[in-house]
Amino acid sequence: MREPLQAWIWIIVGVLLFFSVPYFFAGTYEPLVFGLPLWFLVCLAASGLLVAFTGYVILRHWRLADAVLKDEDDA
Amino acid sequence: MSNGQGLGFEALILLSLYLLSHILIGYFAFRSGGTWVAKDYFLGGKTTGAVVLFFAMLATKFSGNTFFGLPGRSYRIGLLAVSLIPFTLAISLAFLTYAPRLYVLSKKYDYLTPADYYADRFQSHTLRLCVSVFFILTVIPYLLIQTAAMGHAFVGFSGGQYSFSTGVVYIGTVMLAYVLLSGWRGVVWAEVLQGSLLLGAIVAAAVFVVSHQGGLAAVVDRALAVAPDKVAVPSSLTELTRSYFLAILAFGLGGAMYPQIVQSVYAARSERALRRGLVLMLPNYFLILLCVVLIGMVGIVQLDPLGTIEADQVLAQLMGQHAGHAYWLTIFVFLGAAAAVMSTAAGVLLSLSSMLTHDIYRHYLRPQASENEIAAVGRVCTVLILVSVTALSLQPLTTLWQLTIIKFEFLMQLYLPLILGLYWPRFSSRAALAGLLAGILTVAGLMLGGVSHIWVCDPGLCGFAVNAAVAVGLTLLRPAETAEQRRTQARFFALFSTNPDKA
Repeated sequence: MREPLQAWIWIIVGVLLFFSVPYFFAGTYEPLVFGLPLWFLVCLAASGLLVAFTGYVILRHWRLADAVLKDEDDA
Repeated sequence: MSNGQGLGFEALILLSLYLLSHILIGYFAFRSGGTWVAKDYFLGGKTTGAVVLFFAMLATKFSGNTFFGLPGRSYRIGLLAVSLIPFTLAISLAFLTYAPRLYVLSKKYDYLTPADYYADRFQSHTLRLCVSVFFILTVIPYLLIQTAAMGHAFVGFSGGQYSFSTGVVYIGTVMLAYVLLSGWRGVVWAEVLQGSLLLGAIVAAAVFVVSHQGGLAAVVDRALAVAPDKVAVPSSLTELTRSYFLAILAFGLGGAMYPQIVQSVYAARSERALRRGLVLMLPNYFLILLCVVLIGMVGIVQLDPLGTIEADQVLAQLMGQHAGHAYWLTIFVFLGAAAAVMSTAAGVLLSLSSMLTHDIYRHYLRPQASENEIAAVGRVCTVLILVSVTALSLQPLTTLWQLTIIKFEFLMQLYLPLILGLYWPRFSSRAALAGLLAGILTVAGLMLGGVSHIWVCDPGLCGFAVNAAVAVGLTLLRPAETAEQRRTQARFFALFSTNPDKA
């Protein structure tokens, strides 16, 4: 039986969300990397990592119904 | 102001044929049987599998806002609209906090509407009524967004040949026929088509308009010349915290409380289907919202300046400009926008009518009503809601983004009693109701008083903080009665007592 409401998961989520906001580039658009602002690429990368991590959590840390409802059926 | 020639009458014919196909799908769903019974009409008999659930989630989540409100937002704020990706992911994250336990409970106790859980957990008719009315009121703006989006579509794509009102009335009429015939089963069947179309259309539109400008680097280069503030990050850290970091939190908590999202938990055939449907959604969030950002940026460099509300037509005007030499692509995007509007509006309408019939009509007016009667009343409610919303959306008063934010700030108040109810056995009925009312009144008071924020907190978060303080404080100061605690423990928490971890 596994649920996603575990502290370490939400700490990682919080960190990734923090990096998806361009705090470290406030007031500027530079530097440019391949013509695009670096801050944009950093935010995009943080968002991509958040997508991947959320998928991992769903697939590996959400196992509840089978255990609970099966136990109910067995009881 | 028109930024181009736009689509003509034949586009309207194609749109009509396309929407007629949805009505036919609905008709066949009706013929397949079962749509007259409430559980079948509202939840498809709770048998929706992973792939169909994915398309249903995709089509419901990506609404007319995807083609109008969000590109409009991107046009107004520029490259910082990349934050729309974490904004939307936050909804899935908040969903993850309640869906696992709510799914188990919905299977065990056969919930139909979101209020069923609140009523069962807190044994309170007042709370059921409060939650139902509140869900209904906060979701009506979402329906308004869809009909208004179609109004924008008609103006933008046609280059001003058709009026805003024409689009609104047209889609209202089609939607009525579609939802009345179909119920959840037909809507979900059609959403497989709609989901594919809207995904293809938004990606095609973004790729086309960006490549027409010579690529994203070229777009950014031009934007630096005409509107450098839309490429740079705002300098205020407080503003970044308020309008982005904390707004992501509010967006997630509010968005996860859409009743049709809560009901998707109930409708899933299995936990596995629900998990898989959700995982399939995630990369699409990234892809679709990146496309939205690109479209807004191209609008900044390509179009004549657009007014605040007019900016919601940025995609339609961009494509309208290309209608002369990319006619079929423009038609495709137009149909994609219509698919997005139809799918979301249908899901919202079903959710709304299920709440009106099951939570209000059945519980307070006709407890003895049969399943057939409930489904019939559901259809009547659908008509009344759609006619009212169509009339309301004929005059757009604000941007689609602003409507989105307003509804989220209220909806997020419902998250707290849900999550505390699922994880805190001591959380009492009176605390849930008191906290909810305190939160709603705080949000309403701040909005009506014209207070846009207190330090870094928007009204929704202020209300949420008050909601939490009242709910938690009251529970600690005046715990629930022993009988209530015993019942809560046995019915809602004994199920989840620790078992050996099963791989």
